[in-house]
Amino acid sequence: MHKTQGGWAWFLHRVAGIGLVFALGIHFWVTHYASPTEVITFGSVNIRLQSLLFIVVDWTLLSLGIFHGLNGLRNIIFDYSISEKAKQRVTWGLVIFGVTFFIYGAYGLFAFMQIKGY
Amino acid sequence: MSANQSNGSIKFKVFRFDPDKDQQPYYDTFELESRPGMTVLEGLFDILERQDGSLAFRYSCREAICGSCALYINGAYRLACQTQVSHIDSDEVVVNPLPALQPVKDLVVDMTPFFEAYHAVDPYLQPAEDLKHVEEGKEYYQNPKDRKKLDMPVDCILCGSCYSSCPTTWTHEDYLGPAALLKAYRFVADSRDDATADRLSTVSTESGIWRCHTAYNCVEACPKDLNPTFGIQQLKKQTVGKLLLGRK
Repeated sequence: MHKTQGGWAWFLHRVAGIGLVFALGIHFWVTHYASPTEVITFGSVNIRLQSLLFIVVDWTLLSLGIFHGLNGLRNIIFDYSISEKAKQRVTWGLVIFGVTFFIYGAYGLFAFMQIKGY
Repeated sequence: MSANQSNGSIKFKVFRFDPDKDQQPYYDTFELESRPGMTVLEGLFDILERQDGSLAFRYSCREAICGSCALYINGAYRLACQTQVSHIDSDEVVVNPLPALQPVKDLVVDMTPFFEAYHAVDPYLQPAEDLKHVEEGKEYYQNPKDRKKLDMPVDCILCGSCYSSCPTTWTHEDYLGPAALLKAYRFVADSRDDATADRLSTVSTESGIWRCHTAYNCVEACPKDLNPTFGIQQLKKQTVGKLLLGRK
């Protein structure tokens, strides 16, 4: 395997960026254009959030958004001269923050999944 | 042409700083006779010889080959030797040293970080095994198509303008910078060179190609109209290609 330090982060940042374009596109389409006559109520949103496709799209959006955003922040911090130890701390700190944030965000959809019985 | 120049005189506002004497940098203004075709470097010589013999600046070839006289003139990176005073659209010529490098005296800056980065990428040909039989002092032949790929990167004159203009070098002191990375690309793109894997390993670090955010300041700054960003992007593409294909 070719040795690199930062290559995977750079590559996956771009993959996440492209993924976000599609996930955001689907999200916008479903919420704003798929049913133009729909009156948005708690009930209609509740029904939409019970769709497995929408749950998968939302989780994808959440994970890609968190990775892309936090990796971007990591990039900005790494633009400054900091020690290798500080770089490791920053990276692991952001990983823990990202995973925690994902679990917290994903948990919001569990209630709707339970209604549907997934 | 400015009003002052049409009158046959031109003002030079020059950055001054002597760390042994001065607490802060300051500007000196000199008025000198302008003449058709006069360059900024000639103006600096005029000041040195007629008005202030203590003015320090770097120069060598006077024909845009050596890169020694790169300066920040009227808000742009330029070679003093090829910048005609009449081409500067201002009443005065404002001459600053290259930003983001430590001033040594007046217009002379410490180029050590620039050349340390340059040497870190092994800026010399490491020939392939089948070329090692070439007699010492003879050329390593290359076909015109392969040579064409080197047209851009070989024109670098190591003036340091790109390094000085890059926002990443302003904050990250270990960043290799556009010139060194362009030099690495120059040898990676060279069909006669056999050290691509080592070169990519050297530049594929958090202080190497991944720190380039394609701000394009280096492209804007280069007085030889080179494109270091293109070279860096090629290095990124090659590195990712190797990562995905799992090749050494």
